[in-house]
Amino acid sequence: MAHVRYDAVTKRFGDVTAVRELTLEIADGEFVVLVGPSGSGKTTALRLLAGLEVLSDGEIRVGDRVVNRVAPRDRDIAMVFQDYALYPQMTVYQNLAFALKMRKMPRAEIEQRVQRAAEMLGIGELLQRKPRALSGGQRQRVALGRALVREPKAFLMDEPLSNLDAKLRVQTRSEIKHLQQQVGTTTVYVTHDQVEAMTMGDRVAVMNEGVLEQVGDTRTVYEHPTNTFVAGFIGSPAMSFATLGARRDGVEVTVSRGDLSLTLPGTAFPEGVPAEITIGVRPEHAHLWHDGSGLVGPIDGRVRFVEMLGREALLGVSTDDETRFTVFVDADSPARLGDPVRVGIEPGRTYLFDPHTTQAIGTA
Amino acid sequence: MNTTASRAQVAFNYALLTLCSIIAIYPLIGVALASLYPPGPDSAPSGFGLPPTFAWHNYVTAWEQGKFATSFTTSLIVAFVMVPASVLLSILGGYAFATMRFWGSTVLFYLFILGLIIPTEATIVPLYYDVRAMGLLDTYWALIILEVSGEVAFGIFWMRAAFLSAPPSLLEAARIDGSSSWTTLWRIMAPFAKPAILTLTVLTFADSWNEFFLALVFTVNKFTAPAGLASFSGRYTTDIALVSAGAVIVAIPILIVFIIFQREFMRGMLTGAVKG
Repeated sequence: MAHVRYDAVTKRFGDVTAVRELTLEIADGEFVVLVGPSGSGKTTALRLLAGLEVLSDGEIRVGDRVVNRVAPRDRDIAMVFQDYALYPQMTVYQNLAFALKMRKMPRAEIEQRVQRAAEMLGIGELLQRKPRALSGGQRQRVALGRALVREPKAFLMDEPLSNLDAKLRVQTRSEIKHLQQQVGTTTVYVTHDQVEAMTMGDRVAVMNEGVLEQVGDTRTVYEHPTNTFVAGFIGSPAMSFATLGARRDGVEVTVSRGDLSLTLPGTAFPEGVPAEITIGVRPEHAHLWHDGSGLVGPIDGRVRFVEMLGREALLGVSTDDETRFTVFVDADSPARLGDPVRVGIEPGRTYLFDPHTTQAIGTA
Repeated sequence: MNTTASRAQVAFNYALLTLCSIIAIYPLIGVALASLYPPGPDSAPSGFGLPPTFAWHNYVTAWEQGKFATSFTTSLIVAFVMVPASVLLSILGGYAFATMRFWGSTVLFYLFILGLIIPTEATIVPLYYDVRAMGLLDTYWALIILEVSGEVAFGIFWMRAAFLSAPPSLLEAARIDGSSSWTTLWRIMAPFAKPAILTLTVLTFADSWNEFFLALVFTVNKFTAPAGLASFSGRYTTDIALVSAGAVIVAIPILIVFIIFQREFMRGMLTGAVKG
């Protein structure tokens, strides 16, 4: 096991910069998730760590060793690929044993490690099967097993759950997390699925267009996003945004556009009130208005969509000037498509961003 | 989907394929039937017409008079050396072009493609002088070296495509697992590309067996089977039955090889054509 460090790492493909000055420290035994949309550079960052791509600039360390020019096989890392990359002509046993054989490990130890990994993953009865005779979930376990037997310094996982169906994905992600906690190996996990990121990672590193936007524990990233990208990307359903004009009214600040007007406490703007501000509201912090609820508002609008989620429903509400908010309501809420509704926001739960820099200002 | 239209389409497909099959098979059956007509200048085989008596002995006569024992030996010796050498070089070249990034690889690859485009006839005269200068005229080596050099152009093109159809992650997993390029080729990629390799083997064998032009130019006493057939047919040009028997004899080895590898051959031909 070892800590991993990216130090001002840049990767360019011709004119395109896939990763830009990435600096990230991953502690020994930590589970860090690189998350971001397609093209954000997360997979490239992982491949740089694996040695499958060559850095343009910067330095990567595994433990205390700089691995910039170290071949993948000498980095002592194991990788789980999105398509599992099992060797099709080999049995499960041979797949698990291959890397150990390449390291000329004694046969008895190979046998012992393979059996132990197979037992941990519950694939003992599959050892003599070929990959084509396995289900997607079983292949995924074999791919994990192949990484596990190596007992490497770090596990690298490139969207390993994306080929599984939704139910299996939920089950497997907790198994991977549990497995990682059991063996305590440093893990870098790449996904575009923010739910996966939030449920699995000790820390989450959010990337966008090659830049690390924010890194932190899941709660911090969710509750204190550093900019509109992180705020919009983390959280499902996504945060709603609206850019409004702002002016101070005594100890309060009024933000408004058209009929939409909210009064926020002036203490949320310690560095002065800008002319414009972007507000962000998470669906779980917006509720249907009723007098005396203590909510900030009201915001008048009409129901644009209703999504029944079972335990609750999600309303899409548009104001007259097409500012949109999403709101969680009870599943038995009478609101129907086109109905006029009033929405309020929990105090202290309105996220404030600078509309020009997109950086977070605070909450109000 | 409209079922009636679909059935009509299926019927049309079958009709078209049957027609193509008949066109392909017609000359073969014609030759096979002609080979069984009684020999002699008066023998007059006609298309699909059955012979009055089945003269099986024609095959023995053709074998002996055409000296096929000698030309078969030449063809077998050449194929025995040329096919493995050609397939091995194609695998190595194809693997390098498919998986390795090296300076000048694109230019080199197009050079190989050029080998596919330029007909042998265009280079035969300088080749003749080269082979003569090397003292290889009328030797097995002349045929082996020239056939191998002709085959690797296609072979590398073929194997490169086969290796490119493998998921890149397979190679990357092998690299991370500690496998060298050599081990990755033989333990991971070659088994993956087995259908393509077997197909290439069959095609290379067929090309080698059918070699006519090079044998005619570079050998005098070491004719391959088709070249032997050509000289045989020259001598017995009026005896269609014996010439046909000779043609069938020459074709039989390829038929046997194809039947043995038929399944793998078809799989190899379809590699990359359908999503796996």
